[in-house]
Amino acid sequence: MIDRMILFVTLIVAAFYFYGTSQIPTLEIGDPLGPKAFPYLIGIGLLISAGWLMLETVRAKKAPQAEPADSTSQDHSHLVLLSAIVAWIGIYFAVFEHLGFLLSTPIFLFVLMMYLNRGKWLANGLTSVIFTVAAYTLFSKVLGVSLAKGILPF
Amino acid sequence: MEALSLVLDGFSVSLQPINLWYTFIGVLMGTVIGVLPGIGPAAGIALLIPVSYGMNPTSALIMMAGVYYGAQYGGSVTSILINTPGESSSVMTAIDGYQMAKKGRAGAALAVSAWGSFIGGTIGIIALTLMAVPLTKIALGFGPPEYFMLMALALTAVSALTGNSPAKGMLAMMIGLMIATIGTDLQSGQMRFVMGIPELQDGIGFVVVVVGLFAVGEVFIAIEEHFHSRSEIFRLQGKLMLTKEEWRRSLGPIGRGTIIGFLIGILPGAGATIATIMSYSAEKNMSKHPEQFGQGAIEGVAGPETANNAATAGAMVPLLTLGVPGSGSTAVLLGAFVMYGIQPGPLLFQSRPDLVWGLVNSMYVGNVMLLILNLPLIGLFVRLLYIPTGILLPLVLVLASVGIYAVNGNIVELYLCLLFGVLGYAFRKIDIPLAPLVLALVLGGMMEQSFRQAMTISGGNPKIFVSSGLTIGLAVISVLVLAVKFSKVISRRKNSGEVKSATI
Amino acid sequence: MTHDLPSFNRLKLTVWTSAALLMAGSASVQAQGVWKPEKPVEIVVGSAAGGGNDKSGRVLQKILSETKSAEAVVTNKVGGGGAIAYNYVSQKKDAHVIGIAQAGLLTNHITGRSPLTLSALTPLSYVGSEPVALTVRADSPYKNLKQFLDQLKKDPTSLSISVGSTLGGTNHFGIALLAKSAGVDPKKLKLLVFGGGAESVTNLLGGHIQAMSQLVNNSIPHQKAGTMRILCITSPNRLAAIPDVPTCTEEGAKVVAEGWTVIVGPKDLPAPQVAAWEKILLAATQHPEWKNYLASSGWSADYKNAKDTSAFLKEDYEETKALLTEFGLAK
Repeated sequence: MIDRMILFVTLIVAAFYFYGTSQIPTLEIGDPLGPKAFPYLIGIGLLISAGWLMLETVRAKKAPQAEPADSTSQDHSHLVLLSAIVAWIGIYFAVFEHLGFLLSTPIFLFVLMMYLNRGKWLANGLTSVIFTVAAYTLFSKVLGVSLAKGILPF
Repeated sequence: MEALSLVLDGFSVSLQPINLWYTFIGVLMGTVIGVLPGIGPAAGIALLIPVSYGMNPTSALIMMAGVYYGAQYGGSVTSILINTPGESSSVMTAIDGYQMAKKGRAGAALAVSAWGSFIGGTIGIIALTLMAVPLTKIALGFGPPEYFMLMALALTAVSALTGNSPAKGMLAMMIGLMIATIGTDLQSGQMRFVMGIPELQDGIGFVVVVVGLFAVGEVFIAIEEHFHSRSEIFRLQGKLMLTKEEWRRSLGPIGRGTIIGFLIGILPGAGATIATIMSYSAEKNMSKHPEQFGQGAIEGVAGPETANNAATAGAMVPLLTLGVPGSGSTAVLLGAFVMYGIQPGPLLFQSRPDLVWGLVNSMYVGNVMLLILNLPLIGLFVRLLYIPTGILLPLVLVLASVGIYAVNGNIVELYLCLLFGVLGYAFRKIDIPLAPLVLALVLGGMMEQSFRQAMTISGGNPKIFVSSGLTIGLAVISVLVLAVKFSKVISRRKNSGEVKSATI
Repeated sequence: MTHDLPSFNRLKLTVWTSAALLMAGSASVQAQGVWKPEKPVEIVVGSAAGGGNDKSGRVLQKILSETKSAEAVVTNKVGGGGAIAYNYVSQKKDAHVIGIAQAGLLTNHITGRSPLTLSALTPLSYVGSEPVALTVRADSPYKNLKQFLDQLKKDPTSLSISVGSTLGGTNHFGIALLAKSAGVDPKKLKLLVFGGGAESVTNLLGGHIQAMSQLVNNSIPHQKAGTMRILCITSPNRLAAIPDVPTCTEEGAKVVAEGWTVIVGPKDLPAPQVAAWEKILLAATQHPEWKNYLASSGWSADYKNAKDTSAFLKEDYEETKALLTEFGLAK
């Protein structure tokens, strides 16, 4: 099942990749191969590996093998969780430059920790703040890197 | 071979208290930078340039060099503890190092890293001292055809890492190559797969991909395990440092890693990362128990960690003798040299022997300092693993993000990193190996460009790839490696009827 | 009429108010007449630390602080061939942010790599030029430009020449114009693109290519060490750093193709700010620190004020466009 999905996705990706390759302009000067040759080769390689994967799947079905049983119902709820976390990270990046490092990071950390490390308000809160300050000091004072200032005056 | 007296005079420079102090600051900063994911020695050295304006050039360069090789020590720490390579040269270390940590042998992994780094770095500098000029001649012999053959050899080495399903390994390689083609094509100046996003014009940074796939992806997996209550703290098993057995197994890899690392380091363009790839696959191919690789084989840590430090010593060879940087970090060092009005190159050894040998000798001192710094820290680092995952994981996310942002200040890179994190998670769930992907990414770009440059020179004639001693030699080695691999696969199929080997 | 001011008083009020306003207005116009940086200035460079423009930026920063003209920081905005840095400067509001620009500013637009046009930035001053050097290895059979071009005339594909890190850049123009001057079709040349000057150097020294056409700073140390020979440089005059090296014009090929460096400011800067920077930059280019920097990197000391720089850039744009169109690189 999963292997069939991999095959499907690979074919779609290969199609896009071939399309993108055909859009690359060719020059009248330059090296004999040009910028399109290698991508075409890679596209072909992609198709070959997809075909090979199919072969392996077929061969595996013939040989008796125990499939690792993962209860699918559990996976779905955790995919929802992970998607939420990905979205939360995305929000963090989106506001990072506007709010600045010192403001956005503790909020980001605290919320995540509250979810993962339930109930430990004090530990989570303290760690969020101290870590942010320490990281800020390390990067901007010691290393001289500029982290987003955002709306705070310092 | 430079007059021995000049070399020894260098010690009088490098052992001055002020220079000892600068060596210390350099290696300390280097270690910190190496530990932090995302930000690397190149950025670190660059940051020191304005700080070092008024300083004596020798002292400033000693400090910056300290950052350079110091970072190679630090990079292994996060690789081993949280599967987050700090630099591209620490990726190979993460493969077996993290598995060792899971088995409670984090201390041993860190210890062998420190020792290997020390031995590789020190012997590398000795080689640099003795053989800089003749080595340069060999390095110059590498033109586009030779580089291509070297990359091809490295790719066959990558095939040693595909684990269970060669088809998935090939798929991973293709994906890595695809990512490598995104950006402006060097030979023709045309943009490929940029999709109208200006930040993609320069391609996707290797560090972004690695931190995304390994660090962020690992965080997602760990969160999932956390909720299945499957996550355990990696408790220490047995001795903190290396056991006799582990030492014995590491000596060979350390020795080979030194040679491989140094030789590859002197080639401008190839660097520590490729050295680690070669070392890892050499060890896997030579091992009596190749199936242990990927499950915590200490050889898989000892070899690459030694190689990357030997490679940094090697990279100083073209820098000092030709004024040609071998990698991004040495390029920044070169910029620093020029800023002080010092032109590295053939004349440097004659005109400023005090600077050259002061610098080189400071590297011996620096390596000793790093060993002394890192060994006791191992106990501290291992304790870090005892932090509850609920707290550790968010911190890792922020650390990774800040590290990436610190380099270019580009939010788009952060989003890309997140995307690769999701991909890393997905790939792990469906068993697509990450190592071939990442390595194809590193090698693919150079392979393509070298191939086309070689074809330009030969006007389209493929004979150029077997036209010099070096290319023929490399071709022969590649064929041998492939032949050995095939014969192993065939004999194993005969023996056991089904193929079972380690998955990465 | 009791609730109104007497008309005479109203007139007085009007006159005084107008006078006060006029004085205030002229005072602010006066203040606008001379602009000075009031907070630290940002010098934006499109290369990473240690790279080309970054070095110029830091020298400039040092000079500005020594002469107390301004406190400056160097900001690196890498990517897009400089486009990210130019975009950044373009959008700032006043002359506290300046950028260091080179040919990429124009070629990015011509090749379609970036939509940014010249009008999005205010040219402040032209501060230096660097010629291209056609260089061969010291043991090469070509001792001068004429021999080299003769070989190309016989067979344009017989020599592999590196043009540094991109097609369509100043290095490429250098060799292309030289070839053209000898009647060789530049499109037939065998040109190689490497990742940077350093790779060109190693490949030339290793004998994998026969010549390189690169900005002169790459060749100077090797010329001095005797490992390479510069056949000619594309500047109008010889360089003090390498007084024995002839210009291409002297060698019979009237080619002048130089990499230029221009300081730019954000879009539509008001005249007083432009004038202020002109003054500061003119003084900076006369500073001994700057002169040292030029000498060591093979630059010529050239200065143009804002107006002349603007005219120069427009002209260079057209010339560059013509050449790039010829190579099929223009969009």
